[in-house]
Amino acid sequence: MLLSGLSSYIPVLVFMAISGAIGFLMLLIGRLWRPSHPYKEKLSPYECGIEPEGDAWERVIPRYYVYAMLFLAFDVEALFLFPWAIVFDKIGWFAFIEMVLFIIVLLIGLVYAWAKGALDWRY
Amino acid sequence: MIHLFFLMFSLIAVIASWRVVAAKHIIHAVLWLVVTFFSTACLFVMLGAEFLAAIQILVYAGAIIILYVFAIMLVNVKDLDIKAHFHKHRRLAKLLGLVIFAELGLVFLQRFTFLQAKGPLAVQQAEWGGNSEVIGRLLYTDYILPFELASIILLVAIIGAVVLAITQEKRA
Repeated sequence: MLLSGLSSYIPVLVFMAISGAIGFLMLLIGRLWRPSHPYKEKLSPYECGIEPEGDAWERVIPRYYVYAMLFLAFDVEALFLFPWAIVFDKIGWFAFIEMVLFIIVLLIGLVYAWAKGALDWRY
Repeated sequence: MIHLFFLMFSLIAVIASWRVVAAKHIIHAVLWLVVTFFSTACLFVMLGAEFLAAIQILVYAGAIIILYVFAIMLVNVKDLDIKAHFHKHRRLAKLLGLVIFAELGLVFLQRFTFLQAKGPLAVQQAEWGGNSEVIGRLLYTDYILPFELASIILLVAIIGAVVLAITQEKRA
């Protein structure tokens, strides 16, 4: 049976409810089941078995931000591909040329980032 | 039934966005923002805007949140006096909040007539089917210029990010 309109989202809702229930129940059962004897060493953050050093609030290098920003730009680009892929057979070559232009403009950005060394990982 | 879900998701959105501004810890604020984006996406689905909902999850709850987390990790949040910084702009915030509240009140007073109004998208959607297909058809025929302009804007964003990060690194 094909569901139409909003009722086709009922399976999604069921999935959401089940996955939420699983997560909640796992934590709940764990809390009820496990013995609880906390002490200072047990509560300290685990850092490969050695004594934790410094603070968790450490500043990261801005290089990560470039990657996130580039990811965001190409993520948005990929989003434009979805509706294009759906209607591609109806619009034809015109849509194809449009998308090629779109991707070329963004490729310029990728080439620029590459040439500037934004994609190399230096320390 | 549909009103019940609308009430549920909008309540979650309102509570979560309140938690965003009220959170003591900045990472908690970001996590509540994810909840806000998600419930807004659910509202988009209920309005029949599935493509927008997918974008909301993929770009906002995914990429933008990563960007926020990185931005938080870049600065030393612990040493920042966030409260003193924000309380400076309290008067401006009150004014802006009042303007937005007045806008929402106006919409409310018009008894949601905009919900009945059918834009070009809604009309085509009934004719052509899926939401993404309608967006595709309109975007790649009638709205080519904004679409190609989007690529230029993305290019500017890429170049801007690279320039900012590279110059910052050279200075450091």
